[in-house]
Amino acid sequence: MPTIVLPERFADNFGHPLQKLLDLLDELTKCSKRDEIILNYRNGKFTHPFYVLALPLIVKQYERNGFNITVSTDFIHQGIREYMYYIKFPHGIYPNDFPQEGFPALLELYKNKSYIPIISFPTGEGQDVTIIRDNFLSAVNRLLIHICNLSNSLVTGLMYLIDEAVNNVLHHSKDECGYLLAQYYRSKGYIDIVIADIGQTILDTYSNFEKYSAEVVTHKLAMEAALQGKSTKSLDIDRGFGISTSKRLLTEGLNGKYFIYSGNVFNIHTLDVNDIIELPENIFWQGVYVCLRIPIVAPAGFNPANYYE
Amino acid sequence: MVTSEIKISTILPPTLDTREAATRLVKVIKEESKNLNKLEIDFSGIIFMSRSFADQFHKDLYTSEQSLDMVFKNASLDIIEMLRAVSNTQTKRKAFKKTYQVFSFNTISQLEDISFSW
Repeated sequence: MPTIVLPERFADNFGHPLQKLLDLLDELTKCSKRDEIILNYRNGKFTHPFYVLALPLIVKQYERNGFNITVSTDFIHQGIREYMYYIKFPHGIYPNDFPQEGFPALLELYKNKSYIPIISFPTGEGQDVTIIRDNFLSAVNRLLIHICNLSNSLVTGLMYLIDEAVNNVLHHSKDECGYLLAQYYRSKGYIDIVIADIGQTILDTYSNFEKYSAEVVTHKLAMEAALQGKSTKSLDIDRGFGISTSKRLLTEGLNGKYFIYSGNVFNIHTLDVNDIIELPENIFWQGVYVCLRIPIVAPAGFNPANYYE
Repeated sequence: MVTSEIKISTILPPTLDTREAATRLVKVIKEESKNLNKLEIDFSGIIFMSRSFADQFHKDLYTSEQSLDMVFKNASLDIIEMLRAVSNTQTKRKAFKKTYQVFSFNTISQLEDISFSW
């Protein structure tokens, strides 16, 4: 029964929880389907959204592939126990479980917190689903605005970043749900947000699109194509600028940080760095995992419209 | 997809010090890259890159019209930072292929110093 002990805490730098996530994926590749894998989080003292959202998604991914894997949630330390309770770890909240008029009341519970719960939003296309989802996501956005108390330009920027990432999940993941988790670090001056799915990789999306299927044949090429804004939307509408504009708005506009991971490749984009990293093939994310660090003070003259293209 | 790998340590010493060494490496890269889609440059065993080497490497590599998909593999944080620093000072040279530098690693632990710096 292999047990993987998860980290007790994380450093503040953007990369540390992400490195630990990759370490975990690396560790899991040593396990077999015959094992009962336990991710031991009992001794956790402080966690981080970039790491904690990945845990239930990893469990789902591995279960889909026939693995037996659980996260131990009998936390010893009260602080993390309370946090995990409020963010509804591991399953999050799913809007279909609540009446629409109940969303604001539900999210009211969080208006004095510095975080929102794990949001599991449906990706379906029927009218009923889209109405529920739109209302729910709007309530989530409004809650974030309230929690973070941002200026107008930052509110617009924040919503743009979240909506672009959420819409990419809706249009490309081809899975039942997308997921979102956010935390506001007031003393540190930023909001950390993670938006993820465990559906198609970026490569899967391009593979299903005749225009690029012969040219985009690796996860690295798919990442490059996505970052360049090569659209997989049809009708000759050359859209597909969501990722590139989001990155520019966040890094150049706000001096924030952007991370996008799919397959065995990720892109890290800050004011100093804009690299694509190719990992060993077994360090794999089935789907797309986006992490944003958004400063809460915008540079003078920041206008999100300058980045919409 | 035809891929080849160049292990620098088989061509040059563990410290990459001179402009001439950079020119020799780029010559090998260009020879190797004919009829290829992708080339991996493996920095395993390389412990240092001088600014002169990095500058010449960038100049010789990125003024070519040749289009090649190139990945820097197993480069240490110091080497990545040197390549990046030199790249940021090059304003008049054409981009070799794209905006991004691409790195790959054989093990996750090689990424630790790099991810800690973000």
